[in-house]
Amino acid sequence: MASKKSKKSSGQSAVLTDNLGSQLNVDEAELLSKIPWFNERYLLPGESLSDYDTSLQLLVESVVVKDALDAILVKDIHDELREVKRLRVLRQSFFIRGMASRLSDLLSTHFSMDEDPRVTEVLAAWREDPEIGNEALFELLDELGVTMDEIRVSVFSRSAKNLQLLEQQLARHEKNVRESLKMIDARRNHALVRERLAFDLERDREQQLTCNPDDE
Amino acid sequence: MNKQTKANRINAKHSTGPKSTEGKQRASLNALAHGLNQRIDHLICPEASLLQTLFENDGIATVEALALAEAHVTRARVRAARQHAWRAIYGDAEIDPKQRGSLTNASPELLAAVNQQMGGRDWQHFLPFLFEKPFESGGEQDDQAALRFLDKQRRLNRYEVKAVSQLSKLYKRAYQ
Repeated sequence: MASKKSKKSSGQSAVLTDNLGSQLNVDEAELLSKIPWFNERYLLPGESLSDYDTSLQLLVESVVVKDALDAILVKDIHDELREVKRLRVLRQSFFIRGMASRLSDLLSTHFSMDEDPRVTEVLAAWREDPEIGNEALFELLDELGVTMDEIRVSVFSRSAKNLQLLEQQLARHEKNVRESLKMIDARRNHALVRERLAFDLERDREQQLTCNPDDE
Repeated sequence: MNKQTKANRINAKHSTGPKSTEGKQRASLNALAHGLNQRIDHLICPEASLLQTLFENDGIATVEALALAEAHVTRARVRAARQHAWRAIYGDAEIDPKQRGSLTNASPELLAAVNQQMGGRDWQHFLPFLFEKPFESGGEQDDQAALRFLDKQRRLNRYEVKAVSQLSKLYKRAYQ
């Protein structure tokens, strides 16, 4: 039986064995450090390693990882959540790119970029922060008789196929997170039932001993 | 022996396929796209046996522990394939950290100047890591790349659905 003495695994640069620190016993940490995909940080260019570790650590603490199998499921959940985050950023980037391209096409068709400096300025300002209201841009669109809502609709309809695929992917990953949480729950409920059964058995045995002290 | 079989055998002798063991081994991987349909070999994937041990230590019967371990390995394989699809957007080249994302917040004027020098903005597609945000340079080419990427992700779904539903069932059965 594995000793319950907490000790960090040495050797490989294990993701969760680093992060879990005191939660795992030595044998389990050693086993986990030998699973290559468990120790893989799924990062893309530009993504920060410390962000990855911090978010993983937060999840590990919030789920209260108790053993190696919990750790594997938590790592799964963490990677799925990162995937969800990436896809959300991608969805936003589709939309912003589509809006930028549509606005640029529309304004450059009706106004001369060289003669009217307003066009370059409003486009630059919009790209800087698409969220804030841009009065100068609204004025130019008013002159054309087009509203931002109409542009949004045209962008949505143009990117409909991509957005639909992206939504499917998001739903897929969110479902995976729910399934992994159910797996953790199943293990914990099972452990509780086992503890309860062991407790009941022990109590029955004690009761029997109390009733029949000669049996001892 | 009919005429067609005879012709096939003669033609087979003209084959210039691999002769050496190494070549044959390499060619055997020609049709391998992602390997997600492959059976899990415990010699190639020793982690399956390690996982099996973990489940057995948790009080799960050997057969169920083995199935759970293999389902976890399959799920990990799908994740690796997804990661590969993501990385393909950025290109597989080793990227100098100093260059990474160096043009993410570049002003439109600077980009316009570079576009002019490069004779168009195709260069943005070939150096996407400079921007760190995929599919933001605009144009049909990006739409197509995004569609290809999402389609690749969608095609991986069936393997993941299979692995995750298998895992769910096994967990329910093992820990009921």
